[in-house]
Amino acid sequence: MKITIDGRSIEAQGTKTVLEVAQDNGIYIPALCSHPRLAPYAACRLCVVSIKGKPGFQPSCNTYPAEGMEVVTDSEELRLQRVRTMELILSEHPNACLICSEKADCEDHKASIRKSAEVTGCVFCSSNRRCELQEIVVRLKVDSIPYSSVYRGFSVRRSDPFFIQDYNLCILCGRCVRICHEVRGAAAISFMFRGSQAVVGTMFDRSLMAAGCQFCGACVDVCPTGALAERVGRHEALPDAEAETVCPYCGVGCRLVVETLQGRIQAAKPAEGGVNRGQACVRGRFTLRDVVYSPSRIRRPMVKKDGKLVETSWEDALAFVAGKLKSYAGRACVVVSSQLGCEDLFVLDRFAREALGAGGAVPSLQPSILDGLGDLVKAHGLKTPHRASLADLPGSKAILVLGENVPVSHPVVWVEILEALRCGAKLLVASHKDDLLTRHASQSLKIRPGSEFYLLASLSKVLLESGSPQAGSGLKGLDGFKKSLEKLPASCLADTAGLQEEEVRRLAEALRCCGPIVLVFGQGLISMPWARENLAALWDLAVLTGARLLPLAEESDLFGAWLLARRKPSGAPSLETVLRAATTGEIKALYLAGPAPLPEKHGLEFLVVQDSFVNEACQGADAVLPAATFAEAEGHFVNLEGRVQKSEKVIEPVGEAKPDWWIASHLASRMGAEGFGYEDAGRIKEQLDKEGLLALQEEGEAGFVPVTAPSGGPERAAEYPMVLPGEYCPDYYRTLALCQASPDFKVLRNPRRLKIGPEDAAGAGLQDGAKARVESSSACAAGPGTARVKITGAS
Amino acid sequence: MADEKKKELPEDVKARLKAGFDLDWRKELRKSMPAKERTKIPRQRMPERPAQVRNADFFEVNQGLSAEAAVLEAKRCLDCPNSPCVTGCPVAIDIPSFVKLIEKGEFEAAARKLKETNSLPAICGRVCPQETQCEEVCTMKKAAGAPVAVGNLERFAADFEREKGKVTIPKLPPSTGKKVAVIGAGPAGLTVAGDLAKAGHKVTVFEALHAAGGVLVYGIPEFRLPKKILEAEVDYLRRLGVELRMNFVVGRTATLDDLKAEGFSAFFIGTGAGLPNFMKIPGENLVGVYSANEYLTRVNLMRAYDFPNYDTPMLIGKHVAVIGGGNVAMDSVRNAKRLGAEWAAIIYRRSSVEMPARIEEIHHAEEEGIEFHYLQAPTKFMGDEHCRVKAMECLKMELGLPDSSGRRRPVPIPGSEYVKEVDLVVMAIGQSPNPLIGQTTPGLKMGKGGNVDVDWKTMATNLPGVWAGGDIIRGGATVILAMGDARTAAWEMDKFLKNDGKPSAQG
Amino acid sequence: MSKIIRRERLVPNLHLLEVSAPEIARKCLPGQFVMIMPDERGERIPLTIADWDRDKGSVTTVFMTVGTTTHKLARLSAGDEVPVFVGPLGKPSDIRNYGAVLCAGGCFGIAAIYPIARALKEAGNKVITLVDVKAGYLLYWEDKLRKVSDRFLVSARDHKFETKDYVPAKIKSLLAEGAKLDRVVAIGCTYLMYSSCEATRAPGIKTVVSLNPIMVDGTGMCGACRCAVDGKTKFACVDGPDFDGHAVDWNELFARRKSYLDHEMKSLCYWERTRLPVCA
Repeated sequence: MKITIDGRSIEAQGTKTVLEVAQDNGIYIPALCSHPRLAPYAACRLCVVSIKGKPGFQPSCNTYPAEGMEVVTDSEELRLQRVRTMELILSEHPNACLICSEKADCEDHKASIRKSAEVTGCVFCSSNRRCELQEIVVRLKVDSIPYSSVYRGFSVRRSDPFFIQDYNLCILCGRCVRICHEVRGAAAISFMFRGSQAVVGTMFDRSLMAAGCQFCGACVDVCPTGALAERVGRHEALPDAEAETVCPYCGVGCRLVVETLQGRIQAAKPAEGGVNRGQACVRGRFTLRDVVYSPSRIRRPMVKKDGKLVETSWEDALAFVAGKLKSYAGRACVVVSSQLGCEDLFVLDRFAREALGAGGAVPSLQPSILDGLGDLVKAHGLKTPHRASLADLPGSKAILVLGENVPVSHPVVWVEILEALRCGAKLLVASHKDDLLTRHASQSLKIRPGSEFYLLASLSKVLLESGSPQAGSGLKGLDGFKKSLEKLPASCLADTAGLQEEEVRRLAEALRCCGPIVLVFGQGLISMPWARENLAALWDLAVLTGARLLPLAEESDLFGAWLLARRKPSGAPSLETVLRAATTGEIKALYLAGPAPLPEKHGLEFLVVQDSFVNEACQGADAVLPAATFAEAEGHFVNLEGRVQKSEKVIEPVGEAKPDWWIASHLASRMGAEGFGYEDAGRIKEQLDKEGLLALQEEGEAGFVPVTAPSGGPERAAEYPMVLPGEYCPDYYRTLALCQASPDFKVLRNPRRLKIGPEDAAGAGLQDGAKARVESSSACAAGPGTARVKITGAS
Repeated sequence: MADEKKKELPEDVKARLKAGFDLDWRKELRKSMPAKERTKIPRQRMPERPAQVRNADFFEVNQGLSAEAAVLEAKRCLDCPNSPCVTGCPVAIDIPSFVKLIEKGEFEAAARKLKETNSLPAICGRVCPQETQCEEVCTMKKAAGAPVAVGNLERFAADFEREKGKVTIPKLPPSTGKKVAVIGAGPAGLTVAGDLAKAGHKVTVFEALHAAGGVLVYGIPEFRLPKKILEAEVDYLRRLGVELRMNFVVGRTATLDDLKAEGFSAFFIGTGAGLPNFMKIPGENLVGVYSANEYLTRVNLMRAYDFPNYDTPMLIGKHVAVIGGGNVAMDSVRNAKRLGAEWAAIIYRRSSVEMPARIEEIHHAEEEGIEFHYLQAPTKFMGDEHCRVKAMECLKMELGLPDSSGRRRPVPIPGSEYVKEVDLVVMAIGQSPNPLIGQTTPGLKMGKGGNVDVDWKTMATNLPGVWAGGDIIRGGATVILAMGDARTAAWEMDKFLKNDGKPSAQG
Repeated sequence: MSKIIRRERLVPNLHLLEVSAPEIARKCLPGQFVMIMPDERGERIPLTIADWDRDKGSVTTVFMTVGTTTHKLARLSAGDEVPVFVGPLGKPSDIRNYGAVLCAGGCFGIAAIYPIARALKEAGNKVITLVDVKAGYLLYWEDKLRKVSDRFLVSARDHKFETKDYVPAKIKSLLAEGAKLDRVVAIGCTYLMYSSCEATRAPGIKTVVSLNPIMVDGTGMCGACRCAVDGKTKFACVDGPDFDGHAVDWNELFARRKSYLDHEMKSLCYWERTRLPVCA
């Protein structure tokens, strides 16, 4: 439709408000309580405009354009009206500096840091010179406030990690409350009291932690004033540079803008565009600085001289390691973390194969969901079911989540799921515990841990029996699949998973609705011996219902590692075989570029650790090479959707750290391998693109995969009566646990706690908070897995 | 003051020396090894931590002699009948006795012998300029080219008693009930407090700062005099019954008259030379130009090198110039090196021969990579737009006729200016006596340099019952001279107090 | 160690600290200051003496929370002890009968001006007190100051009181009204004292300011507090802190006060993160 604003005729659709249309066309209208991702609120009344034919002034933030509407955004009365509104707002905000006559030369005469305990004026505030109020005061030329200022005298609230709350600065615009309710779903804060007593707070005035806040930082980002301020950089000067990186932790691949001051990281804020659409989680938002500047960073190369690690130069370290490794060619392995960039993984893989003669770089996170799907494709020559992207979630009608604590492990995916629920989608959850997920679910099934296969198989069975026409007709392998389903023992289908027939039928009913379906699954589904069977059942359910798969990759470049590993003829050995070979002495040298639970006694003769942080492996290491973190080197990461994203270099490397690809390529060329003369990451990316390694082509056509019942029942159940499902949460970067890096993070998530049912606790004689001993059946727990365990009270 | 060293020993001291000399075990010891053999023993080298390691931390440089090395070194002493070393020592310590006790292996007895005449042996052993005092006149210097290492032995005995032996408290005579006020807990004040406490008087030491030791705590750095040694000595005084009142500025918190009203009958002024001298040249008030006192106080007293664990900040210079050639300059430049200066240099207007600093300190500084620019002096400092010092202009000098202190006066060579990039400057060109006591004590006669005027024989000031000693009467001098004054003053005050307040024979 | 009798938050960022120090209370005079150190690892900072009770033996100071040391002081409570509380330091203010005297004070200067105004009143001067605050809720000790002034004016940016403009403008308007001022005493942040002196330079009224340079020992021993007063280098701790405002080299004082801006910021961040733990 056509509308005119200040005499300019502008094309507008019905979906955007007059304010958004004006802002899109570069017309300035002051607005404090509106926000692109939030529903119109029209509380601050600053964005008023006059519309022909409508009485008085209309708030442009909740007025939608109509055909032929004439809007005037700037006139004398409008300016006066806005100035009056601004004066009222500022009368309850410490406004001394805004209207002070000495404002001009205050900056160069300030003789102390002046960002002190309680903010009584802009120079004391951590948001000084980046506050939206200041911007509007300058634009509207407000220079005096006719009212005596009201100071509400709240004490600054410090009882929560990561940020402080000083509600004397709050102008009650409600952005923080609304984003917590509408976008993040935590609903931890809301308005307390009414009228002049109104203040933002939590129920019963408890701390944010107690109120269920996930500390995603969204409220801190949207707050127009300094009421919510990050504790770490509060007193520092404004940043002087910024760079856009990909968050190094989980597979979502959020884009972050990292602000730096004189070459030091100050804070990380979510970028507007990208997968995360301006949102982030506590890890990406608050812990980057503590990780990059962690005191346990390795700063200089170290080499073992008569039993002790001694710092040396890069020259000697490389020469020593290359010389030694040459003698172990063929009897060495390389372990890599899939939180490294594609360039690093590619060069490390080539280094392993060409210089060391090992099968290839062994990813440290095993098993990986993507490998499982890859094996099915190879085994049956079919195309994987359609892969979902985050953008598909809001449009979907049904979302089935299998046992993943999504709000904690992948919070940005949870934001998109919440968006879908708001648009009417149904959330179906199959999990073994109650948490935030089950509270939002329209149907939530409680299944015994590790029995997802039976649920998926019975769902397919019910859908096939109901004979709905479009269920997978004409696709390859349909009858093979049907026959394999019959072979499954009918009775145990439901009761081994602890479900009634009726519940499974209702779930199948929900899945039969028309409209897109997304199956969300993660590490939990494949962390037991019958992972392949689970994936096959999931595959078939997806093909049957035409649903899309959303694999929650736990590490930022898991997809990239899978893409690179896919093209090799002979796959690298699994982590478990490598560790067993290390203990038995089959392999003599190990090159650790990622976390690996190396047992105490091992038969290795030469151990190299290439990492950014000191970890236990370093004690026994013969050489330690400092690697640059994601912020100190340029790199590309592939997120769980398969999207390749560039992460810029933010700061110079800390100490003498070098990018992983630099170390591997220099070692390889010293060991005589050719083609490792990469000058910078750009060259490697060109080679990756030339060989099309990161492209995701899927040949073959859709089809079903025969299903087999999980073999290997509950072994040694008597000795290990309980099943302990792991909690899959990427609270680490390479080998550094976030609890160790950030004291605030340790307050939020203490990893040393075990959740156990009340009867089991009583059985093992454990009270709340007591010490417990966990013995597991599997010899070396290769990473967090669902294992059979015995839990007793620790002496 | 230079000629004072050659003075004849008083008769009683000579008698005590002779008595010690004639002891039988001393005679056997002399006979046990002929002098020719003693001269063959080389001087034992004091073990030091390697230069490149120690110039990056604050641990003590000298490690101290081992027991065997101490005994060997003691053997080198010829136990001369006229003991020239005793005349060299401003405090007339009975050096032959304690050295021979070490040779006999009775280390604790040696320490007790030392404490009879020197209440702070662990400190003197470390900071005394022995090479210009006792060791300069030692006969072994002429006989074997290297004097007996009296300082190292003194330090060995004191350390031994503190670490291994029991620090014995001498039996105190009955209290005389007389209250004595000592102003300033520096080397002079602590010595007077020790001596008068042993004489049975009730001594109270008033200290302006929050830690005792004066220049020993804020001036001399940890790597030359560890704080734990100072604390042990101060604790020794407390166990003698001395009351230490910190954060008490005599002259502001209370004047001498107020203290008299409180019943103090004798006073000793030991407030030291705290006023830093400046060259009064342009740019001296720029940010980054420190007085040596401020620089050393921030590092030693307020531990600014451990910022932000300790809150006092400190500017870390990459190019540091220290103006001056005394011990204070040495301490400042070696501190700057430890705090991370890539280029740290001494700018001294005379030549190396005239440098008043201890030979050992200069030698240590050279090892630690300090540059020495002789015959130069700054004329002005240049600052950047934030008034932060960024360069200094120096003028080359040549030596002219000697001045009153006997050192040749530097004469500037016109037109020889050159500019040097610096980001931190320390002015270590000497201190004058602290003006506060003079300003707030009506009637006290002051000398022309701002120092308190005293009768050099009895250390008495013109006010009855008031003595003074150390840097407050001498201007920036040495710890040992301060202890010498303190010793004399204590002896006089004791006489004054014993015949209850009537002025003793005022010399 | 000196024991804290009372530590109280008067208004946002300004705290009153009453310490038991009998010797200091007995001897202190208006215009003098004390050096205080909050704990063993703290730094020594100067605080002007605002009031005292000679028989109770207590000394009162008012400070503003800016850096780590003042934040630590603000967390002390009655009964705690501080390792250093030494004074009274500096030369007392020159109290004589000058006729009409304007005492101007800003934020922590309001408390610092109180004893001087009281002494000037007792010496028979006509005392005009001008108190400058950012906003109405930041005014304290109004009754105490009113008792010692013949005329009491408050200037706040937010119209709560008669005037809104800053100290220099108010001085000019007073002179324009024909008020006779024989002398001005201005105490507060460096900018307030500097601008007051600029206002009284033309009319030639002698203006005394209490300088606030960075200090280390405060007893004339280190020279950190040196400032140029009509060309000669003076030590604020022994020659001051009161000086003739028109003779002070203000640019040098501003520069020297900013010597450790980055260190202050680094120290405050370090203290808040490590020793002010989150009590979840």
